[in-house]
Amino acid sequence: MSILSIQNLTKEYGVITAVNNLSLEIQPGEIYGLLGPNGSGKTTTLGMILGIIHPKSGNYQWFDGECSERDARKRIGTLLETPNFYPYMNAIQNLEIVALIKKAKNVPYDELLKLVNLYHRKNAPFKAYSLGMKQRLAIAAALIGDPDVLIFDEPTNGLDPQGIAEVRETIRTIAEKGKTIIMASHILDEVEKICSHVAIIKNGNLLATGTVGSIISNDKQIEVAAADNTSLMRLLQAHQMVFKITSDNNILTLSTDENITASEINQLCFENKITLTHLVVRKKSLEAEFLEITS
Amino acid sequence: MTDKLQIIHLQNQSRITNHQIMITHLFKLEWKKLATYRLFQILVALYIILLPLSFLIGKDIDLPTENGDTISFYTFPKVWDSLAYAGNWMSFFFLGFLGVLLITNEYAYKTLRQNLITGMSRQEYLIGKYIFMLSASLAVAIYYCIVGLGVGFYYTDYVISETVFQHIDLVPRFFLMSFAYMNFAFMLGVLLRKMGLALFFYFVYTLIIEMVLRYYFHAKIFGEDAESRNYYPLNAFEDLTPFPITDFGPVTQTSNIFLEPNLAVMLTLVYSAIFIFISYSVFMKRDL
Repeated sequence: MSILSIQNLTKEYGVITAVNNLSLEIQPGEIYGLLGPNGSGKTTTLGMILGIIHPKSGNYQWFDGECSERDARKRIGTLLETPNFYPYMNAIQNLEIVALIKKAKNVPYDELLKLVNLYHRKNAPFKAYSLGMKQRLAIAAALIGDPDVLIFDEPTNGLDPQGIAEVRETIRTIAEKGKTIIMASHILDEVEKICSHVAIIKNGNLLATGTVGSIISNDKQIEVAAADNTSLMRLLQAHQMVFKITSDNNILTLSTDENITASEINQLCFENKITLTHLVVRKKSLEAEFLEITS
Repeated sequence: MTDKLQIIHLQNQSRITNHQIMITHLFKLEWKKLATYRLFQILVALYIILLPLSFLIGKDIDLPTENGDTISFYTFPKVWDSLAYAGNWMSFFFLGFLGVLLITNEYAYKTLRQNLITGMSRQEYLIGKYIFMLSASLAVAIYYCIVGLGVGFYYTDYVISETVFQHIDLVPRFFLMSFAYMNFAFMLGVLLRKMGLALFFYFVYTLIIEMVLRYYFHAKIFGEDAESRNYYPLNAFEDLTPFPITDFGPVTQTSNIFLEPNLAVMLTLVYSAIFIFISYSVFMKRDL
């Protein structure tokens, strides 16, 4: 069973194509990151699959179409952009509205509020909450009815470092329960730390998709330096497992095949009478990959 | 054969109970949204206080009535007409305001979007709003009935039982009038989304634009005395419970300034259906 399948989803606002022919497949248990810069069409995509924005063309299907769209949304907990609640109601009253819409019975309000660390303020009106508290209430609301899928759109936006850490921890805890999570973010680090799968989007176009691991470890990067970088460069350029060399601050960065090891490089240089002063192997970070893909 | 019929019967019955469950569920949701809202509480309290008061202040104004006093406004069966007219203004302001804020607040708080994301269909959402508006109209109609009976029994010295309910047909018209104002205001809220803008247009259209249309443009095109100038929507709503002018002697016999009640009812039903259709088609299509 697939949780969500999107085929050729397109949305245009006037002359701007916000989402262009996007297709995705999300399986149960995945923590799926939608990664892209601001304005790349992440929220528009989420808006479409949640029924609040009408696509120009294309389709999407929740849970293999086994229930109506409305009932599908009842099985999804969502935090889209900003937390939206009735400002004059307190935390419990706002959660009760959500429970009423979801037709969720026996909702453990107190436990939910304890989970997001809002229990002590449960009787204060929503309008008196700080941004972090509002965001945390939205996460509690998303958990009502024990949904199979959770959607978080920029969940740490505008939070202080402690708030960010708390939200990430909460998401990880939820993920451990085997729920499927779809998370949109422009923060690479966040996607890298939390997600199992990622789709990279820019200007509404899907640029890359796969497991976070596969996108990160396609290429290996090795940094080397020697007293004589020119001859080092000449030597390594001749090597067939080295794809590309860039020089920066007297350090050469090699993009190489996965199978090459640091000791092979070291041995090669030593045999050619070059002594390395610097040798570091790093997996290419998602950030570097992201910048490369989107530039 | 009878088995089959029984099954169909049972199915229909379960469908009816399902509808009942849906209606109470949607009403409960709307009620929960408003019950804790201070402005709503104030609106309800003011309506309760002001409906009898706004009507009773007329007691101290000297009007050239047939009997030479104004007390007849408060006795059966006249009380129904005069209270309905006072209530017309009350519903125009209060239920119009409520109709606007019912939807514009949810745009402002983005809770409309959130309600749909949480698991409502657009249709369900709108049905909930109409259920609430119908309930509110029913509530004010019942209140109208209570106040009418109270005032009538208090001021009528010799209550003749036939006269008590002589004008009772005003109760359903009062209900329709209240719903019509609210539905019109709600449509403006759906179209304009901003509370200030929608309220502004509600008052400007009702109090100015429609007057200009009726007494200037319509008169120019169809002639000064064309009765059709009374067919405009807000005028029809008003004429459901018109000013009880028949007591004022000579002017009233010749003039055709009010619509016949049945015509007003028909026009109101048609306009309300059109407004619901407009709200519905815009609401279903719009991105949120």
